[in-house]
Amino acid sequence: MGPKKGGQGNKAKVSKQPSQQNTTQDETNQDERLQAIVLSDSYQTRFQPLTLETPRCLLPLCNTALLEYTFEFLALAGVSEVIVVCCAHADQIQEYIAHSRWSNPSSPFTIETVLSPESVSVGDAMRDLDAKGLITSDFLLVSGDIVCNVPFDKVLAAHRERRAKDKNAIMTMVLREASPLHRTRARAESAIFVLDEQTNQCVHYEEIKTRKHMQQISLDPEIFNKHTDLAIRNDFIDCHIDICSPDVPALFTENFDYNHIRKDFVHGILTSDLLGKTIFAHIVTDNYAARVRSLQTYDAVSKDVISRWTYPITPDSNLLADQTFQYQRGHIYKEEDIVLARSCRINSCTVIGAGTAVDDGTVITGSVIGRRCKIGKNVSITGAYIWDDVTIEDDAIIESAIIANGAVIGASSRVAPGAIVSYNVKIDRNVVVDGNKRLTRYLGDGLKKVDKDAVGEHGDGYVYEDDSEAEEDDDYEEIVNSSGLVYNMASLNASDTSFSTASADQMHRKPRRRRVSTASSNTMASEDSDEDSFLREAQASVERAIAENHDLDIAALELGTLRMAKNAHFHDVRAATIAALIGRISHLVNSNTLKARAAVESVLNQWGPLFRRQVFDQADQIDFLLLVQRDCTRRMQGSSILLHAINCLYDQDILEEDAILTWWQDPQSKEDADMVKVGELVPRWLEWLTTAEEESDSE
Amino acid sequence: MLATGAHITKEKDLNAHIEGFVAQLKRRQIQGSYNVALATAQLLLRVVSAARWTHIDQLVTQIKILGKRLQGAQPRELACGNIIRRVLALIREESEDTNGSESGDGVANSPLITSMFSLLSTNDEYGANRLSQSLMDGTGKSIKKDLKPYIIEGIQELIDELRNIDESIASMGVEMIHENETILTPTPNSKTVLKFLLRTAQKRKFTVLVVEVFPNDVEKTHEFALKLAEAGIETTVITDAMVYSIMGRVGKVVLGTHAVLANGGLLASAGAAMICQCANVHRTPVVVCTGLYKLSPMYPFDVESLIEVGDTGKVLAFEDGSLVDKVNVVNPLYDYVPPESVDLCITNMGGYSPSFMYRLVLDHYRQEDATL
Repeated sequence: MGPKKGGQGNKAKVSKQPSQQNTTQDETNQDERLQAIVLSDSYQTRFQPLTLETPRCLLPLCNTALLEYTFEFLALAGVSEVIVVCCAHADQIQEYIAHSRWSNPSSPFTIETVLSPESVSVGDAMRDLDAKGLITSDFLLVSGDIVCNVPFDKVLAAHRERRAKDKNAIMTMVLREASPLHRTRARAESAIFVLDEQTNQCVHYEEIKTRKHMQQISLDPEIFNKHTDLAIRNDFIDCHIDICSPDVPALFTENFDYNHIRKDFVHGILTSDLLGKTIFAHIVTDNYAARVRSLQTYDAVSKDVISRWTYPITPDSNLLADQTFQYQRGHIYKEEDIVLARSCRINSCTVIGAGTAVDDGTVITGSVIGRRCKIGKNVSITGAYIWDDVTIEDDAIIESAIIANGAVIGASSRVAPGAIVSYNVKIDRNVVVDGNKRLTRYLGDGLKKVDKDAVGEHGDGYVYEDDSEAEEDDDYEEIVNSSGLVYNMASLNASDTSFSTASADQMHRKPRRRRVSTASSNTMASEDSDEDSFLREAQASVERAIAENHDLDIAALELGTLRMAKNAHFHDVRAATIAALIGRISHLVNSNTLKARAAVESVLNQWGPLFRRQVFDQADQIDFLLLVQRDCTRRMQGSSILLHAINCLYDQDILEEDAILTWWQDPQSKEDADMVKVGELVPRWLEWLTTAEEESDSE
Repeated sequence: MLATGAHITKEKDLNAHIEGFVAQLKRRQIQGSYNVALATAQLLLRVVSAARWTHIDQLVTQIKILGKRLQGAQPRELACGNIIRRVLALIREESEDTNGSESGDGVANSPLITSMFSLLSTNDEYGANRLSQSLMDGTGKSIKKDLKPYIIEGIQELIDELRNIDESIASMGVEMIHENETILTPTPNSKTVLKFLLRTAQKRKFTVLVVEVFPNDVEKTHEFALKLAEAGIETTVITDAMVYSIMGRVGKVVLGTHAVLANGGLLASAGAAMICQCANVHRTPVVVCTGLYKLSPMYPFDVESLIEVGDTGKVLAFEDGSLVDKVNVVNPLYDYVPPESVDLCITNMGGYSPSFMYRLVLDHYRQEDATL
């Protein structure tokens, strides 16, 4: 016993020493440790109905779950601690991670999942993280659907160097250069970055809204004083890979209305003068970085992976332990145990998973086929994504569609480009599935619903329609149209024509625009006359709208823009609008075209709604009435115009009874003789108003 | 209890280490024959020192399984399989030595029967024979105790050999390169070639033309040329397209290689095959510098399966969206150079004709390990 004990004692001593060394090493390495936050949820619904059953990050891309690519990137980047934020389908993600190789001791990083079930945006998730206090140092923020092979050491070193110099450099965005119509760029989701050419500091960020055909962005003139060389660029794939300092979640907490990391956060930080934080961009020109954010990019990234832009992250590196892909000339990847009939043809850019059988005469081109699929005779598959356990019967035609696990496509059926056939849907023989259809079998509460039209007599499944999102997002339609699997030529043409109309429109508007810009340069020169110039400008704008009979919305938009450009108050906007409208009315009256009442009604019925965007609460209404009153003092028949105007606006619900009564009791409304004179007809109307009120009350 | 606990954690550690290595191979974090060979040898050292076996065949199967896994991770890094096979041969040799000294019939077991007589016998029979024989010997336990340190020593020697391999090759440079000769090299990523030239430059004065090897090795080419120039060698970097026009003036083509196959053919950086063809047309000698660890017992029955296809982005800029969509780009990293194009292979064992490579394979590997 004795010697044994001694031996153990020795061992303990020996083992203690290195552990001490380790701890000291750990301390010195503390700065080098890199955390990564993976947002497993996309907070979007573009992949529905597929994402009804599986979270987006677990959808297979070339037969490997998307999350796997993200982790692989993090491993390459040398991350030592990964925190996965789960929201929707959290149980599935947790289970996947628990059974993956990343939970093994051999994993290059420790992995932890954090539940954040209430979050509905990136902002919420960040606030949640901030509240939990999990973030200790600079971290990498990515979503769970990126594919990237950028060697990260340089990016990180550059970020750390900047941080060491300036504590306010809170964020570095990794951007990949790519031409504007590149297939891997998400349509309808691009942005303009204004960067300092020398330091790559991002000084302005502007989301491009394709539907609105943005023609201009406004930059703070201050920017030009601070930076000598600016690049305004729209040639980036922004896959939302950011290195953030711990300030970022804190800033999200401070600004609780920030939801989107780019649209709200970056834009907000850059436009705010108070914070003084800076954001930098790291432009990648050599390697690959992309994000699967829509079906269109799903298609593009799949193609990129197959044609080895993402090397070494390709199917034949067999990311998962049980994969056995082998590369063949022409970017064909085949796993073991595939049965290919002698007369079938496998063309280039194809991936075929283990256990799949392809029968005679079938042609497969540029497609991904999952595991254990049964593909019948004379089937044609082109550019399609077919997941695991799918059965495709004889003579079927599938083009550029996604067929999810367990689906069955009947003989001689056709799936048109862009269609999605979700899990376990069964399509009968001789059925044509249109390109814009998304079929699913999933119904949350065990109900059963079958669209016989869509899936045929013996089919199973129904057409999924996404209605929840429609009102929520302005650009939804745009995104749906452009983010589909197939960015078809028709919609491309449509956008082309709208481009040309936009430019025609621009030409039409040009003289006016120029006037605006000269005006603004005037204001730069003499800032004291800012208010007057705004009044003049706005009044002119409304007058023009009336004279040229513009759309109400356009007039309102123009006023709004003008107000923002001049930083004017709503009071001034109201004053200008009133001046223009009453001017018009009095012109009609004076020229004897119409009687006062008719003139007021004709103008205000058309243009009155303008005030809806200028007059909000009671105080505004009182202010508005005072302005009208004051304006009418200058006009012929002012008192009757005032009366009819009030009546008319009261009918339009722009003015409320309470407001009118308060205005009348307000001493300002009788402060001088003119005001009293012009208001001489009002008491009678008020009397009518109150009696009418009483009558309706008594009734 | 404590001891077994420690053993389990050790085994876990080792497993984690192996898995980490596999992942690194898949991610191409360990690349290049030399690095892979060295890392494999070091891994085997750990595995053997941690391994427990009652019979030598258990160790052999254990290592074979490991070898299969590593090969599966990166089937195109042949050096990995080569080192595994070398170690297997080493283990077999050690066990036969002890067997031989005890039972006295080790010579009969020699696998190097190259006469027609053994043509029809399969490898499996060899294995079965040996198995039954060593079982009959009943020397299992005594062997186990003796062998471990020998095997570890053998692997240590292998690692030393790997580390010094360039030295022994470089020392042959003086015999190969004449005074004022012009040397062309299309493999600037080869450490062996670099040392070969630098060492020779101490005794000889010569000119080196370095081919750029666009697109995969351009940066390495320039580093390589810089190192040569710093050593006082007259160095010129030429583009790949210029090779044919300049070949008439070249005295020798010196090639580094990724792997040498059993038929004497090689895998060298892409473009090498064309340059060797060109050298053949001009009757310019082609000399290959290679360490023995690159010698693989495989035959190039399916050349394509041996050639790694790399990053497409190096050939075509990814940002060019209009092209990316329309063309299919392939960027092979290696070329297969047939043995007819090569005149001499300089190894750390001396210079050999490519047609002699099969013999070196037989010397260093066991036939029964040819397929892991």
